[in-house]
Amino acid sequence: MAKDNQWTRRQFLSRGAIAGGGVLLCSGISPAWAGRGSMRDRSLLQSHFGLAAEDLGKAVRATLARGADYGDLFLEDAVTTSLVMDDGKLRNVTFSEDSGVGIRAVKGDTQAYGYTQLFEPAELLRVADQVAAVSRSGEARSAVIAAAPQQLRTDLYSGLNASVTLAASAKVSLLERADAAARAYSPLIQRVDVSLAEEVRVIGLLTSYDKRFVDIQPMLRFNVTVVAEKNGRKQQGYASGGGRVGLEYFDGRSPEALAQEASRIAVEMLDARPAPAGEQVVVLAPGDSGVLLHEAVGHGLEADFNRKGTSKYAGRIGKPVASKLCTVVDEGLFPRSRGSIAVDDEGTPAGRNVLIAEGTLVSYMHDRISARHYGIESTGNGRRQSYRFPPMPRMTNTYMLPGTATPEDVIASTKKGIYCKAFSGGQVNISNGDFVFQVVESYLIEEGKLTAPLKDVVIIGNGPDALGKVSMVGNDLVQSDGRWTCGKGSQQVPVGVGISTIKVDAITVGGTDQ
Amino acid sequence: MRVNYDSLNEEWRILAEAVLARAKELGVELELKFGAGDTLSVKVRKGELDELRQSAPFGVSLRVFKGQRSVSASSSHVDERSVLELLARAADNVTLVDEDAANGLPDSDLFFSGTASLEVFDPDVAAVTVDKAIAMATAAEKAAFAVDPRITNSSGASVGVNTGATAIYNSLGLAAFQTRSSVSLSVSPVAEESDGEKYSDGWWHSARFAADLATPAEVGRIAGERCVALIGAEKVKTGKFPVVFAPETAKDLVSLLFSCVSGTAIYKKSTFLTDSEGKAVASDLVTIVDDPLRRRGLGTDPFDAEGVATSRQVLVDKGTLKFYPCGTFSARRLGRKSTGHSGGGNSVTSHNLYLEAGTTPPEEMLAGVQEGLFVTAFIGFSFNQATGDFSRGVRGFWVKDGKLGLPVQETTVSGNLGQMFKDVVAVGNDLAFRFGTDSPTVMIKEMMVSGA
Repeated sequence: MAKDNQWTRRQFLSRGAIAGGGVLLCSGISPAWAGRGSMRDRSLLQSHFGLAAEDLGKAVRATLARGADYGDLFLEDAVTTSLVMDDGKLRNVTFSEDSGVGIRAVKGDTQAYGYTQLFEPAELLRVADQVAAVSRSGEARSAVIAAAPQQLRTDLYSGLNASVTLAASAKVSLLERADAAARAYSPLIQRVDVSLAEEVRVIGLLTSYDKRFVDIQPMLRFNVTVVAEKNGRKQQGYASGGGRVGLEYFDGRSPEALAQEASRIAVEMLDARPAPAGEQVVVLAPGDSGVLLHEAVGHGLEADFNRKGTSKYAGRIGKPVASKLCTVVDEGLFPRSRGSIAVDDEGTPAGRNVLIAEGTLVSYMHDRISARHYGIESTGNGRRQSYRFPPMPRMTNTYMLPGTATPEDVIASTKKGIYCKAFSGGQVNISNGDFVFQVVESYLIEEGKLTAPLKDVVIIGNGPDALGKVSMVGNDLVQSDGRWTCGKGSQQVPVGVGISTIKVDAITVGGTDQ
Repeated sequence: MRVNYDSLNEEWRILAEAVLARAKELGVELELKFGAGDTLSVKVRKGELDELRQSAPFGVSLRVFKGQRSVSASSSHVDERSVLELLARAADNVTLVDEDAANGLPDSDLFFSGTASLEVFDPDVAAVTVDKAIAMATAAEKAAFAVDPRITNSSGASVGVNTGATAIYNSLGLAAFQTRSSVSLSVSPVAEESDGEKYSDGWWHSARFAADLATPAEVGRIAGERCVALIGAEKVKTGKFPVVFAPETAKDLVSLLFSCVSGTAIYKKSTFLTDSEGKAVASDLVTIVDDPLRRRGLGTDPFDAEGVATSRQVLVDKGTLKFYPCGTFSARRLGRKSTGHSGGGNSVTSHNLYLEAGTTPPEEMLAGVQEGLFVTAFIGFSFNQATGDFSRGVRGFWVKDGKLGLPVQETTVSGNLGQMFKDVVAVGNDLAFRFGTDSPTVMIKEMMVSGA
């Protein structure tokens, strides 16, 4: 069915060829970060993006020409492909490329941002001049808190092995295997959709302090959606996995395993009955339940909301915001994880940041602007969707450290409640603290045992209140497998979540059964 | 930078000619689309400029057809050489995919060929300067702060100014070009109680024409009033109650119903509303219309994403579903013709979708509620298309003896979308075209409200 196609040795962009760059993903490029004047990174920025160092330097200096105190250039080339299988037929093979340069000028807490898709010196200067107008406002901040130059982690992922560079023929069989496995799971499976989405982004940054980096970030995501039908009742099931990883992802979790997971959910939930309404004891399964942390505390601890005083958590550093069993960490350093980054989109190496230690709020997540506001170093959370957007504080992989209870004990200790296992997402109002997470696979707990499957339900709580009611934390920490995307202010970034089996003593369940 | 859309139209036409000719040489059929825009956004917070963004993006996307095979590609590189490379890559990829009889360009008798102005481009929008946008945002935020001293903070007031153009060409001779403009204003104040609790809400408005935009004073005032009204909000008791959805939330129910009867959901059998055409899907108070040709509408489109001409169509007539909205692919899968609802590729989208106004003034509707919930905002999106199960977090007000009472938060409403539409017992007379998908106030007989 498939033959090797063009993108196998894709010349990254024709612009590269114009600049004499030729094939891009050559072994000469590796993630790098450097302080002032590293010749190596200077040449990488140049050879990849086809812009002379003098022109980049001129543009970044132009951002400061009218009184801004900081400026940067963010260069990006992204290539995305997908294979879409629809009921056993390979329906579409998509290819897309997106390239541009985002230019920013900052004065105090105010920023101006623009971008261009033309990699031409005159264009860079035009946009730089436009954003330099930010000097119309804001108080200049001269104190620069800059981390000492350090080597970037190169063991988290390798863009050089991005599966996007491989022929489609190597991948079609993965989709076919998932399709077959879903149908084999049960005769009730009526429809199967499978897709594989792959991406590689080459990003580069040059700041007005002459700091620069280049990184190559791969991404892979495999999705299976099925519809099961029994006696006229329908149910859908979904499973997804991936990360900053190549096709070796499937060595750990097969297409069949993902298809079986989606099918299992659809078939089990065919018999779902109405979930209870009102306040309930809720036990969360390990892994994707970390979406609770992402919504209940994660967004509220992003420093932009706190420097502006609009977050429920503003001014609460050092104060209790969760039960003593809760230690919550944001960490960009898990190898191959969807939420991991060697370096954030403003040049700060990603780190491991403890947000809540045994129930006490210890740190927010910072980008450069908020870090300067608070007079500290950035925590490496300045992220952006692409060159089209300015960075802002975002999560990476947000998780709770494991406790000591066994998962069996957590469930067995629950007389009546619900056990939540799979989720479709969540949302939060950062000011009043209300958050929801949407449960697509859950079970009734009766007398310490999982009994009936329950219909889709939304759970709503209030951040510190809900985390204060965490009464048991299991010893079975699991990190999510490559499926979560976080939206904030119209920007989407890939993230991870992680949690052990935990028990929340009372939280409102939006069921229909009273 | 001000984009000259007239010269762009000409540039694209010449480029399209070259690319379509190459497609012919390659033995493939082609759908080729260009887009470009000019955008400005400002955010003002506590009277100071917080963020200023400007850009003039452009892009190209294409679908290549060979027999019954089809693939798609897109790029931000719009020079001729890059577009020809993109075409070559897609033409190569098309041999990889399987045949599907539903693949292909739209029927040429459905192509848009008119020129009637629907007033979706206002030159005055392009003339809005950075200073003007900042002044509007500043005035709007100020109006919010003026509502009540308890409004002590703000996430900011934003103004967005956009113009853009799209063009679509295909191998069967389609050539359609459209410019659009929009301007938007939003305000997000934060109220704080003496106990330190914060409450945030906001308001926004967008319009195609600068003159149609609500004034900064009005948007700011409404945002401030919504925010202050929430002070002291709490979860309510759990139970079955009548629920009244304000227009800004009722519109979401209309969107969900559309997605459940879209051709894509129908042919994928992924919706609880398969086999619903010609049948009752809602109370006879419910009539839903899609009117792509309304002048100055936010969703106004003389042609859909495949270049198929659009027309005003009644989707639900007094409760009865009249048709499945389709693009070319979903239509062919269902053995019919496109209804002009392609959202690009195989997706389906609505244009200016709305639930027709009823006769009940919203005050009268609320006056008839002994005890129930008035919903003014949603949080979260839990909805299962296969079963219709609906469960969402809400903010709003408790209604007691026909009067709006305590503000409500940390509460959910749940039900089944199919049942909810059948349980519509009143439709307000307060329809306004404000969001693109619109609804008057709607009352549902009974839903499960879940709080304490």
